[in-house]
Amino acid sequence: MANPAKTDATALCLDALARQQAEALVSCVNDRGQQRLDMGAALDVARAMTASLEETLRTAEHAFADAVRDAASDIQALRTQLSTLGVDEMRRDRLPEAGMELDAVVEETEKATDRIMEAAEAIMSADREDKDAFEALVDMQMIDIFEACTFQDITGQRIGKVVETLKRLETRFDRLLDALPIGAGEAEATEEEKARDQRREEQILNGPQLDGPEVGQDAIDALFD
Amino acid sequence: MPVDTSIPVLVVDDYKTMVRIIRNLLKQLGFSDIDDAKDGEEALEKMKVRKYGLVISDWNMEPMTGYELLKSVRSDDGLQRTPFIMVTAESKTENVIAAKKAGVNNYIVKPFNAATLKSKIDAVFGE
Repeated sequence: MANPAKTDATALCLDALARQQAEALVSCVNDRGQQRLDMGAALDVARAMTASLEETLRTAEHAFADAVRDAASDIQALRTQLSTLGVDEMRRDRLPEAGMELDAVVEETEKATDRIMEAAEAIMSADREDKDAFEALVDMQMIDIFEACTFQDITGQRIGKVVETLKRLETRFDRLLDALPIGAGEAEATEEEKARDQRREEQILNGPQLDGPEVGQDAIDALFD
Repeated sequence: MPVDTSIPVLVVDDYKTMVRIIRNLLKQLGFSDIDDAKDGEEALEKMKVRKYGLVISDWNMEPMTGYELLKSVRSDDGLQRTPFIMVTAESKTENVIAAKKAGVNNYIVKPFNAATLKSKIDAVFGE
């Protein structure tokens, strides 16, 4: 069934067009001065002309309405999909928590390393003349080193939680991409990101390689021999 | 001729732990005059005040990287002859080649051990 609002819109459009054409016709004929054309007659002619456009206009109107309806449906699907992704929970809880977990890992690793280094330094600088005292000190410091190494268990658990968050994020992005007709576009980098990338390139900052050094020490040594 | 362990050494790294590790290794090797800087900029300031016999520098630091420090040192008439060892996790071929081209005396990939540090210091001083 035709939507009355849309029908009105088409009719209004055709009427406006007819009026414009009639005014142009009256102006054109009357300017020549040989014959006068009244507005009513001109409007009849113009309406007859614009009537031929009605079908085209209505087809265009239906196509436009279909496109709007499809877009609205896509938006609704996106909203539904986003609501199932738990974006809010990710932003509010999981991502900040992941950041805090990693901060804690850095802090705990640093503390443990400090403690191990202190133990090693205490052994290094100890007086070795008194063998019994030196042995007791080494035993004590060894226990301290073992205790410090317990950080690995806690940091392992913290990193595990972060990995779980990242996996969850990856799964949800996959679901979103599967559900939406999104092409493989490249994200536009911010000015800050572009500047950082450029600096990394200029300064050849690649960072540690995932599978260990790309060039081993022996190969490097060969370059300096 | 053994390496002169009385020379002042400047260790440049933004990780305090790494500075501490290199300091301790150097002490084990007999060096006692060890100074440190947290990045290239601070290192350059220190080098303009004091003449160091050896610089051991990380690469990845801000605001001035070890690579920039190396190039600054090599382009400074007063500092250009300072022995410079890069100790870094940057292990790509392009890094090693760029450092060599910029005039580094030796290059150590992290993680490393005391023997590697010793052998590179020995190599730099021609032992």
